[in-house]
Amino acid sequence: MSRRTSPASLLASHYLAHPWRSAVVAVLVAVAVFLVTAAPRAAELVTTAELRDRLGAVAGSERDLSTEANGGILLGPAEGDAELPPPLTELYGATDAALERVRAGAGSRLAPLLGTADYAAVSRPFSAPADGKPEAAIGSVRFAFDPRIAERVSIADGASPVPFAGDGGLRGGSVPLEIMVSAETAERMQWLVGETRRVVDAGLSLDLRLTGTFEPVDAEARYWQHVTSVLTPEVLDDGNSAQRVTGTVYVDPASVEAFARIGGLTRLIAWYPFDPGAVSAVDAAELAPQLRAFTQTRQQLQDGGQGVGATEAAFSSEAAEAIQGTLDRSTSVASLLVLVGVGPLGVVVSLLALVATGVVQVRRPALVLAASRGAHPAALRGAVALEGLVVGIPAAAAGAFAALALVPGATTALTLLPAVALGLAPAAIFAVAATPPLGRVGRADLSSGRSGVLRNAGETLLVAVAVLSGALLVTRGLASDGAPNPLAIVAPLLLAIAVAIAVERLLPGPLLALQRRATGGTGLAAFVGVAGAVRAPIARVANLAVIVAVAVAVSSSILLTTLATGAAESATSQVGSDVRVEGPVADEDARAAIGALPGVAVVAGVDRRDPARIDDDGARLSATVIAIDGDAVAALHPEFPSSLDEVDGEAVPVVVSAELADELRSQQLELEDVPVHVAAVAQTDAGLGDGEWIAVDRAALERLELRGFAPRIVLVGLAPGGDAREVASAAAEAVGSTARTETRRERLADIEGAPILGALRFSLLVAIAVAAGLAATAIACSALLTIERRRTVATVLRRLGADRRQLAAVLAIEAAPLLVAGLLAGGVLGAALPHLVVAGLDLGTLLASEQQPAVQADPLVLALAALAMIAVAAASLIPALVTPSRTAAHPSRGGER
Amino acid sequence: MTATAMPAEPEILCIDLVRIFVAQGVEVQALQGLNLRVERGEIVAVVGASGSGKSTLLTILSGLDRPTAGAAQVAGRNLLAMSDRDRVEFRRNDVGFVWQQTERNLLPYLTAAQNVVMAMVAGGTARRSRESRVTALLDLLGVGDVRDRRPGEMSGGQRQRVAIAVALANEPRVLLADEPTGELDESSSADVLEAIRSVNAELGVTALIVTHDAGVSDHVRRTVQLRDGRTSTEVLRRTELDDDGSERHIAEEFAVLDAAGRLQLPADYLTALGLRERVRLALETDRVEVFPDRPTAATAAAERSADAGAAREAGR
Repeated sequence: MSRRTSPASLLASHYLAHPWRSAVVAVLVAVAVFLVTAAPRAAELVTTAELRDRLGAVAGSERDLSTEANGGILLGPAEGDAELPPPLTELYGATDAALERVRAGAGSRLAPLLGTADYAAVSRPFSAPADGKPEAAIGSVRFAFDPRIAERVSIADGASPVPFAGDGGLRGGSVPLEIMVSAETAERMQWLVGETRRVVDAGLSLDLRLTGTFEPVDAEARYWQHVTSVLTPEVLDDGNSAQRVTGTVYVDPASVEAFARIGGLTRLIAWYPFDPGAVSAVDAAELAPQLRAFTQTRQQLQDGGQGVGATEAAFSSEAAEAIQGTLDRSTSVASLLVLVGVGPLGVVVSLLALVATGVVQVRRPALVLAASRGAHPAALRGAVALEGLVVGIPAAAAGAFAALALVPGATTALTLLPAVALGLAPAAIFAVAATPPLGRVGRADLSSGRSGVLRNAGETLLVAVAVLSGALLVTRGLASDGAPNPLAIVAPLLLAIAVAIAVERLLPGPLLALQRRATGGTGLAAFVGVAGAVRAPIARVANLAVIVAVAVAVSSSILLTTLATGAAESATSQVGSDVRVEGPVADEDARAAIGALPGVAVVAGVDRRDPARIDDDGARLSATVIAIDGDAVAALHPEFPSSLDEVDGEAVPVVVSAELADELRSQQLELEDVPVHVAAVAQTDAGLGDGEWIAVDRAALERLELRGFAPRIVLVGLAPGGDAREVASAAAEAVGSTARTETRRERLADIEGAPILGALRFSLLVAIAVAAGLAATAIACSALLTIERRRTVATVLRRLGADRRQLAAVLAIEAAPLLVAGLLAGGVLGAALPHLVVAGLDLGTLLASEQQPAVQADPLVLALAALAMIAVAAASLIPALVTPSRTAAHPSRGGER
Repeated sequence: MTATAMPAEPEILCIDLVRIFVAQGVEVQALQGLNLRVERGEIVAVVGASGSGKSTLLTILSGLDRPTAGAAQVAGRNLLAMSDRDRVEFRRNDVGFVWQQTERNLLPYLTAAQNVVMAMVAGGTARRSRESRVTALLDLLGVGDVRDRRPGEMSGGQRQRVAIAVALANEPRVLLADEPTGELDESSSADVLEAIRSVNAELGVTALIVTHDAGVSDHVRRTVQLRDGRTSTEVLRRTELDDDGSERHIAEEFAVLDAAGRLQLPADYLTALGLRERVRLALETDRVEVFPDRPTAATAAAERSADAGAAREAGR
């Protein structure tokens, strides 16, 4: 018994009474902590995936940081450890060291991502004609030196060259220089192993003996993309004279000193392999500027002018652009998700406050009782706060642990900050809620009038701030000058609160009118229910949660539709048709052949010309002229007029791109002195390309004094049932082997396959689910927190003879108006939000489009969302309807509240 | 503490107590100059109709509300001058409460014994003496058999007796009870009132019971009647032995006279003689006489010597 009466056991009994409220608080804390902790980590994962995806899409050689520096190998030994064997390290050690030093200085984030530099020194071409082989190509050679060439190639025929042994140097020497070339180069140059050819060029007279041919160990190695024209020689064929073949010949790397002396090595081709697999979102923000800084400054290889070889190098890489693009996209997505998430987060916090207040409310009688027995108010608040800690800390720990376990990522103190804050929140809310004096009583029938004035002022202020933040979102966007606008980000939540206030304030009007009518009627349910709806304390948090949930559901559905339509439009705009064939000129026959393929409906040739002069009412402009099959393009793109081929009128009809249209002042122009009039403005690229262009029908070429129609782009429209991939392959065959093809579906899959867009769509769906769950929880919690009041109503009505159905009807009618108003108001807010989002955020970048997608709503999706929300709301009302009334055995005892 | 030094000091003293509630321009005078004096060890019932100010008086005496004007003193403490710290001490050591509703007296999820201990923990009673005192208190109130039951498992009368035990947990000098029998049937009410009387007798606790239950008069010596925020009459009971040795209960009703000489006449007196607005007073050697406002020869002399102020007050 003494254990059962110890203060600790009393406290435990106290905490364990009414456990569901505390349990809901714990669940809310855990869920909120999980979401808030997991979301940034998930965002990082997605950004990392997107970074790797985008960097992976860039060809390896373009991604690597590469340079072609003037001057060749920095001849000299390394100062420290050398990796090369002794004779080579004396010659190449300095180059290795210089490149390693530059890499180490590339910046804390960049340097670890760069591999050890690879390089080769390549000379300018020297003429090396093949004597007595008139049918052979006119040959030139570039000399290449690479200390590691032996690792990269295997000898296919003959042997590796030996170091140059001529003591008189290369100039005028009689000893032949041994070389090797790739097998294909030897074949194209008709150079047999053992054959000697003579270089006679600018005073250099040198015999070259081919000692062997080689094959690459790895033909796919990036080396062959950086050091070009090695595996296959450079062939110049202008059709008039004989082919000129320039082959790259490798000399033994130990012979480099002799070459350096004659100044023959003009280029040092060096590159640092860039590994996209090691890039992560965490360091991307610092990586991008380091990469920019590295590529924009000339890297010093050696102190100016003292030694031989390159002194400085300018590196370039496509990686910087890909990283920056990804960062921009991820910022857009993050802003959008914050925008979508701030509402539900606000509801979570309000719900947390509601239920936590509910916990204190149910504890209050005990607190008042203990206070009246002499417990110190501070001690009581301490007990209440302790319960908050007991509930909040384990829940927060569980939520954080789940987030850390399920979503990998770097964990810092900042990662756990939300968990700590939310874990302490119940204690804080409990303590604040327990603050009203426990030891005093007032008179419930005499409420103060001051609270009304305060409420008016507070609500007016809130609405004003909401309007201001909405305006800020539209005019300034989510972020200005890279810094986010906090007021703009919380705009959706503030607007939802403003709408909730409006609903709360405006709803009683129509309800009272309804009640006046119901009073005259006979329906008990309508009369009592409406009275209850008017007078029962407003379930503010539930109201807000419903509005936010519906707003999130509607706006997310609209955004999903907008993204899907935008992606489709972007793909259509870029590809221009179902299938696009690009590359060699598709002549009349080729186009006819494509047109004859099964499943093809339309074939349009597109011939992009050089920029031409435009006279716009005296202003001079320039735009690319694009000749098109007018009718066919019009069949593919309705925005193109079908009358583009009516070129015999006073002015030639043209279509201009939106970019050009922005520059134009009039519709009547002169194109190369021929009058034209703008028949239409193309709002999309229509497959013709971006930028400023002016499209004319092929029939107008003659009038514009331009040469014949030679389309290098063919847009193919399919008939229903046509197989795009099959048509693409067949069309490529018809046009020529080098033709590139792309179908609209492939491009769309490419756009939609971006990890970041997938994550955004997933997050929007999650937001809908979370918001719906929150609304259900809020409605159910509000219903359960007010169960006493409804129980009283039910008891009184049962005693007055109401049956179960009437009772349910009363309670349903009591709850319904606020719910319906919330659904409607949330719907209106949700329909408006995407317009604010599109106004304040660049979504085009997510869709690989220059243009901001237009807000699109799919009625079917919206109807489904609305139905789901109504179902959720209806289901969550069940606790309110199954309120049991007291039976006669438990007479009503109206306690003081 | 100070009361023992000065036996004349009452345990409860209210002088001209006024409590006005004001909200949204409406003014409600709950107490209009109430006077009450309860001696140490006394047991007093305060009765009155609904709205007469009974509950307001009790919330002031229990330190839960402050009077607008006047003076109030309980167990030697000035209720108007108490700091928050004093208030906590006051509740811990000086007063115990029993309210009408069980939920204000007992925590539903604690047993009878745990409820008593809870009050001891709240009041800071030493751990060692708790166990024995819990048993003693519950036994004294006749609820030792339900010590391990929760309020939901007890009868209404048992609940209220446990509530009294809880109120007495920290050995207060004064027990304040607000409608302790409000929800009980007649026999349970009698049990509870008897319990209060027995703790008054056995522990010497001063008890003030506020009720509208007329039956309470049978259990206390002194019943104070409130009307319109003031004490109006008092009934004192005593038991005398008849000459033949049998007990005789005598109840005498008194009007209350305040320090300024104000007096409320019982309503039935007013109607019986048609007393309105003004009355005539006459001072005799051993009494004051009150006459209707109709000048007669017999009263003319008395009228001349009457206190005009007293007449105005008495006529209200």
